[in-house]
Amino acid sequence: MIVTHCMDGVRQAALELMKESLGAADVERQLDNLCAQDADEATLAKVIPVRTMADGFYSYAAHILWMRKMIASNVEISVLADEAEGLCAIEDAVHEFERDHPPCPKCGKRQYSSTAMRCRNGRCGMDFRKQR
Amino acid sequence: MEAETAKHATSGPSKDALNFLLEEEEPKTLLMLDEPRVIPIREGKRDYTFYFRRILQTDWLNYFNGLYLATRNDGTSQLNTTDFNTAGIELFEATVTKVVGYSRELTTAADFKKVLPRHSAPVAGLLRSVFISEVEDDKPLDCDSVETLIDAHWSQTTSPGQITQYKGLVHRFMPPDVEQRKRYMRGGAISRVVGGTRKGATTVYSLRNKLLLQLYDELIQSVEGYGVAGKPLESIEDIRREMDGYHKAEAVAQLFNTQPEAAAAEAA
Repeated sequence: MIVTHCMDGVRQAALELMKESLGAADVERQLDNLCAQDADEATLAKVIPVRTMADGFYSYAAHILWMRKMIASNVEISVLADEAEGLCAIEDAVHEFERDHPPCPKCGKRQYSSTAMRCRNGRCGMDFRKQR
Repeated sequence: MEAETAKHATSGPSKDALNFLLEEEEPKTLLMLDEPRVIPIREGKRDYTFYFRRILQTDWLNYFNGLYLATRNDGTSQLNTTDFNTAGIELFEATVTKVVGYSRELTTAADFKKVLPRHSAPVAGLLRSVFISEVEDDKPLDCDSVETLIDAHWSQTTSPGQITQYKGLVHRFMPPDVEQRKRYMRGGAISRVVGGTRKGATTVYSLRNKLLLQLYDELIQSVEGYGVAGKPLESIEDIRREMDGYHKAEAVAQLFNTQPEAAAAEAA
């Protein structure tokens, strides 16, 4: 199967890429700590987010995310039919991501979950329970 | 651009030993693209010399079409499969014209099949011996063009056992536009997934080398250090027609801050 023909795969890969991006700083910090403790490869692997799709979907999703950014910046760029389908799939993924990871109303940092109790930004630390 | 001769060690019959001899020679100024290529190697005490016809763009396209790059996730690890040797040996067999050093001189297509893979694979690698240059200069920068530099091994010159390395071969390009960058990115993003869509499936990647040849022809403005028929290569039409395909791919890939997949995988 050619990756441009499977929009479900592209949507899922884009969603996972956005989630990886959300947690990238924390993952890097955890990896640094584990490396400092001489952790074995299996332990390090547990920290890295699990990808559920074949690799090719992530490359194509990254290409479509780049195109989306260009279009959002008003750069005129040609769009092929499969890329247009990809852009629609990515929009679905973006909406799902934004719903599941709402931003803190105070500092704007996206949260790991829509039911988080407190802002994950240490400097903000807003208590969301008071808002509910 | 400068040219210098490479030093070649001699040793036993291992692949590492397929190196060259060093002999002092007056450096050539221009890399003459239309000269037949001659690659000498030494294995143990024996010298072998491989003569090639000019490698044309169609030969390089066939080579690029034969490359294979795939990945597969197995649990938490990723298995990468690359095959550049098969295409390299096919390129070797399609372009070699004479081999000296075996019990008799090999001159026919049937003979060339008899060349040992431990010879043909590294010699095919030397035909693709092109690298990003580390030569630095302090020339003024032209805002309307982007310059990339490559180093390359090319061919034996007058003395046996000697191969010339050209350093700082210059390619000047127009800056790529957003459409060209998009084509480049798309070229690396298209792949085929075999065995379902989930992570256990194998991804077979498209390689961008053919696209790089097109981008080169669209963007090239001038080159330095190359020649044809004893004269420097100057007009854009001549450059498009005469430039070696592998040099094109390597030079233009630098515009996009990367190496072509083939060269990157070989370097790894």
